[in-house]
Amino acid sequence: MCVLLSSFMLLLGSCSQDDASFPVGEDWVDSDTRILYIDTMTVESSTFKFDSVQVSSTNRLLLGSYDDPIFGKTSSTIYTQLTNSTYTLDSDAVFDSIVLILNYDDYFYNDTTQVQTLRIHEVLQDIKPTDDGYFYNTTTFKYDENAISEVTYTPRPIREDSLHLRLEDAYGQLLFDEIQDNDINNSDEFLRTHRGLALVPDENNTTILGFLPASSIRIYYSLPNEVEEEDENSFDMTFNSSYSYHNLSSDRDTTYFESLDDQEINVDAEDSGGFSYIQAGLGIASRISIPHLAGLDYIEGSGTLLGANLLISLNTKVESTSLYAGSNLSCYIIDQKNQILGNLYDYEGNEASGTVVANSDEFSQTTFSVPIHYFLDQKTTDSNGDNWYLALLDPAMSESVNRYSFYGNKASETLKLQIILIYAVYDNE
Amino acid sequence: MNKHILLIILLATGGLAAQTNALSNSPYSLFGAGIPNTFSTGKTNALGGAGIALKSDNSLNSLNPASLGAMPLNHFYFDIGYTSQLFNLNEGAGTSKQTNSTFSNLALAFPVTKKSAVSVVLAPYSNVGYDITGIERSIEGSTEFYSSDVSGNGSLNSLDLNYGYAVFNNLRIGITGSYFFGKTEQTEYNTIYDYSLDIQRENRYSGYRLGMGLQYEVTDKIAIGSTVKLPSQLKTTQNSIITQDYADAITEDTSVKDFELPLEVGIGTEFKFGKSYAVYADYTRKLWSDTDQELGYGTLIDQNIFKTGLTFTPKPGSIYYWENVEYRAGLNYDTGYLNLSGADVKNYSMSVGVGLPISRSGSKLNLMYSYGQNGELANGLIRENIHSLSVNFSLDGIWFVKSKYN
Repeated sequence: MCVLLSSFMLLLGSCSQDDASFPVGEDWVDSDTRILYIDTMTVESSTFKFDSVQVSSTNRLLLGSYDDPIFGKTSSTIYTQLTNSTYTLDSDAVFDSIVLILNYDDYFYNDTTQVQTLRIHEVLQDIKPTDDGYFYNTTTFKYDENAISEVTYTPRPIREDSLHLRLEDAYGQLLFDEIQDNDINNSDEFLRTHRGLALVPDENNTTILGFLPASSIRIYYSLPNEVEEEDENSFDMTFNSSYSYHNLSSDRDTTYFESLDDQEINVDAEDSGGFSYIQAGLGIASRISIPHLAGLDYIEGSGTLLGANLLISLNTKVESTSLYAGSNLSCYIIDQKNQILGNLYDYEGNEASGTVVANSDEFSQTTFSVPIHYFLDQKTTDSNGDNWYLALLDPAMSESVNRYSFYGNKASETLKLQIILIYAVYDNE
Repeated sequence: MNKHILLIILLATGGLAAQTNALSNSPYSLFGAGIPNTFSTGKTNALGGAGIALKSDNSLNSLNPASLGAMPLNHFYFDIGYTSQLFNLNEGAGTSKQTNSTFSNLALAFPVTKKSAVSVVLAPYSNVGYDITGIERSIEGSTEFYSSDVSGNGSLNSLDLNYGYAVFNNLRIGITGSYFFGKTEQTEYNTIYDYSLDIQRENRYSGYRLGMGLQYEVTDKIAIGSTVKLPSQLKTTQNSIITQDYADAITEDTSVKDFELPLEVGIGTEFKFGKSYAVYADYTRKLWSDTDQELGYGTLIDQNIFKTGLTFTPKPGSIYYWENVEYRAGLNYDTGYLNLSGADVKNYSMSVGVGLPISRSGSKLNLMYSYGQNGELANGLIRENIHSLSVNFSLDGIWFVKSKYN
């Protein structure tokens, strides 16, 4: 019986060990599997414009204007409310000067070598968000036609930290006196008479610059009993970042986008030189349409889609070092009226974006790839899927004027807009 | 008696558990239901597999059910085999070594009457085990490739019920009913760009087969035997599971042809020389080409197997232990059942072994070593050099002794 038991134990100990997997015999494997690379799916592009872009509490305030060869004259005005915690000044203090301090955040677009002109106006209405609680790029407030000051400057967005613009003494003296004389003792009183400032670029400017919301108005003054060289004393009124935003507008007359005064309107790539476009800030976006999804029926056997990517390439000919596209694309699902339905997601549950997959200076190629497998599967199953489209946007849509020009589906083999499907047939029967 | 039934159940269950680990390490096991198991009960493994004419008078020979007619009353046999193999695979450009160990049989026999006996044998019929990596296949519609790793495992098992009957003292007949069951699995791991696609196909087999045997002792020194196993279709069902990166796995029953077992006929002889020597010679033919099955790359061909073995016991019945040890040697030549693009996969092996007595009743510990070659390094084949070690307990118990005095 002992022997029986021990032999029983022995046969349970069945095992196997490999010291290398065997690399041969591949010819003998009889596999039904077929992998197909399909690039024949129809895809079309067009350009549309969001009615407005939400610009509340952005990390950057855009200021300036330039004339874009594709998008027309583009301009950004800053509306800001000033705030301070104390409103007291020594009764002996003497006003010296008033300065607008704008802190660069390194962002610039187009030509910064020219002298820029800026007019500062007092806003005549309370700066407050629209009823839904947000500021939009289209939000405007009335301001005094007569500017407080007109200043000129040559931008140094990279070399310098901030731009100091001396404003007219008259405005500074006015503020100084109101505070020193205790006409204004708190911010409520201040805002009652000084609702805000509009920083309005001259239309002949050549650049749009990015500034930090942490910018301010500074009043310099002196105290007479100080010895010899007067120490500079100053009094800051900072931008209230919750009530500061930029208003972006453009003059699209005689451009491809002349007709884009409603979000539902699309300009097909064929009608805009064979390209589709993005202009951030203004809300101009590319729209991708995939009309014939059910195009895989001709493949025999049972199969499954492994991957699907949209490839879209930049028309780098219209770019320059100061007129550049970003390196990422935000992607949204939109409906037939170009209303956003939601983010584009990939199969891992992450928000999907367009990333550069092919970048060649030699061939002037920058190609973005957008994973659309999950989108296609959802589009196929959703009852309203036929009305689903993709919108491609700049990720910094609310705080940049980055622009993109994309090749359409008629371009050369490497640059054209196309969908790449990887399809697997696992059963030929 | 209850104790013995319990034992059978226990061992059979254990055997099945062990079966799930049964492995081969040969790319040749890609074809059909894998590589047929050549190991059997008792001493025939060391005789090159010969033993159709060998009677089961002191240990269980499961090559021929007729041998059971010679089983003495009041005995029972229990036989368990365990085999370890070392494969040296050579494809010319590279070699690899693989080992595996597995249970090779589990058997029990007991007499029914003075002239008849029954045995139950559980053994793998065939084993599947391979791992083929780095297969490059083209992606249709592009100039690029994807890579595939293919691995397989599993086994087809048979549970045989044998009955042997001695018509006369020198003529025995027997019959075998086999139940086949088991599953084999092939998984294809495809990597396509950044995507993965795994296709797992599981084949489940079940079916029955009938066999017959005959043994005739021409003189007390010469015996002949023959066996026939009828062709049989094993019902085969295939289930496929297709797994990709994020989507849910697709499971479907795919259609697959039934696996067919061929007609097998065998004849064998035994010659005894004095008390010490015996010589065995068998010939078996398996008519694979009559089975209507496609293998994809290869074709099935009729298989001819020539087996011969010699046993030598210095002095049977001696009071000295070593004079009772049985020494064995054998040769096996197999023309193979596979033809791969015109080349037959032939196999030969040489074996040596000993049967060590471990009890007065006749129990033996059988040890066997064989060296063989499967395939060749030519015609696109792989050469496999196989070292096999087999341990086999052949236990002979005295049973029902009391009944004599009833």
